[in-house]
Amino acid sequence: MITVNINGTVREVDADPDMPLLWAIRDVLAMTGTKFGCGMAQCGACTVHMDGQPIRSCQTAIGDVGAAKITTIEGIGGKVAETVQAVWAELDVPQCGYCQSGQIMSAVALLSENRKPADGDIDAAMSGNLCRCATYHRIRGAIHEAARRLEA
Amino acid sequence: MEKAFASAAKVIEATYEFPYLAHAALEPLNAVAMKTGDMIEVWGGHQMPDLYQFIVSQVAGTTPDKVKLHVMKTGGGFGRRAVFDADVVAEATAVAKALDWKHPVKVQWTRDNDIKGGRYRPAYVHRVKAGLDASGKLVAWNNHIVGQSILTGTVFESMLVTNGVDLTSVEGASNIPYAVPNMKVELSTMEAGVPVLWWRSVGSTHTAYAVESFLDEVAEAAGKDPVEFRLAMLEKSPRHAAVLKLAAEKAGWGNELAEGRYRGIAIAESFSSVVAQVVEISMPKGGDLKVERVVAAVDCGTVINPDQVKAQVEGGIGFGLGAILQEELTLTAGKVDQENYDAYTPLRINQMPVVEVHIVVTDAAPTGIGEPGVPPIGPALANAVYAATKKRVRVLPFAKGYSA
Repeated sequence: MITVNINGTVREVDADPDMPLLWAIRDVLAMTGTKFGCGMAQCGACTVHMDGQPIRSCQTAIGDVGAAKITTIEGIGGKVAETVQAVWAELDVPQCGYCQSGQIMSAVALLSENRKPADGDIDAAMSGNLCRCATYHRIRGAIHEAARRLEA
Repeated sequence: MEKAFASAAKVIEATYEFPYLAHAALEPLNAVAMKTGDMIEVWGGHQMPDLYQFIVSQVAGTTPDKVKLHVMKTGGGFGRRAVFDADVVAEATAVAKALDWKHPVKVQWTRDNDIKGGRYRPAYVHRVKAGLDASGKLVAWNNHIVGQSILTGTVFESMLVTNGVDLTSVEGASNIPYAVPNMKVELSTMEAGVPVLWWRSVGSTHTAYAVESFLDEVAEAAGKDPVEFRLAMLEKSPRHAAVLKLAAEKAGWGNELAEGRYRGIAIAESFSSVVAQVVEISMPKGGDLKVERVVAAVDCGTVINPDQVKAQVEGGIGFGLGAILQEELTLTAGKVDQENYDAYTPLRINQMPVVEVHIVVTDAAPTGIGEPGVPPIGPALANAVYAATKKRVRVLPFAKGYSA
């Protein structure tokens, strides 16, 4: 048994320590908001937070999580996350939606550290998150809009 | 035709090469199959449920009325979830059947299964030739297309392949909107062992590039502005003319650009809608190309949800731009060289331009909008790059170098 702190709750996971955190979250803990896209940290669909930092859960072994706090799309909360989610819905950012939980996790992490990101900051923080529908124009707009609202 | 070329004051010719492209949809293919009583149940994201239901019945050895297909909300497919043999669904069904229906079976393709697993936009070659009279008028047009047929040998052959001509190989080339007195479009369909499939905007993924970037060359040979040159041939295509004018006007076509900025324009009809795009790039001497801004004009008939139209055109531009700039599926000794997004590289946010979409107000019947944003971006970009470099990009993707 491996113990992980996930979305504020300590959970027991019956899994091999080498199991990617992504599979533990989806298949063992049955939270399917975090997505599989590539299996090698190339697409960002599996992004979760580890102590507030965005990580690719497909490349993080469950045995390496230790005492760190994991947050998934199901568990994010607080002013930044709520603002990002509200703006995402208002601007109709998602198309197919498959990458969007990863996009939101990366956007929340960015805005938590940088309340007024410039375009270059957005590129740096978000270019690891692929969107095959190419909703990038709206993702950029939504991050700027969320920043404006958080400043107000 | 030959006579028209022989009597032309000027004849120009160019050859274009297009690679295989993968859909590389972010949600990898997946399906679940199981048997409940005498019903086969299948879950998945399918673009052609009726056909998939029929195929599942065949694989399972039953009749379609004994197949319940649960069509799930699905990740974007871009054509990949509409496959003639229902690949992933047939796999799940076959495995569940082989296990005597004792277990539900989930099939989940990995990313390398997806990229290496076939069903690509075919590779094509176009040779385009144009004849101009002494006044610079386009009097002869010949476009010869070579490539695999997407639909021959599929259930769609009887509908969309006529006298050996696959409509999807020539759409966008055989129906150009311009009034050209002598025109011939030829198709040589070749066979290859590479499985092919439709890919967002299908034939127009390559025909629009060949037609619209070559037309830019023709306009230059005629000594005409690319917009004026096109408009002069669009008198009988008022819908196209209006879309072209709208894009040009909104983009400030003809206005002076800032230092290091360049523009290109293209127009294409696909899925019965017309889209024109003006691309603005920055390209400092010796520096990298950056696509800064795209102004699009769209006529897709009656619009019910304008924001959805804009979203589809924005996304189509990003989807098309990735392919034109840097996507290429290659094979070495019969094996696909790419496995994942490190080697097969769709567009990322740092490459996405600012997009403006302007919609023509009309009460005409509604037409497609999922695909028509894709075709014009390639040629519009190529024409902007020519403005910057005086070099024509005729071998795609751009990542191969601009001077080929």
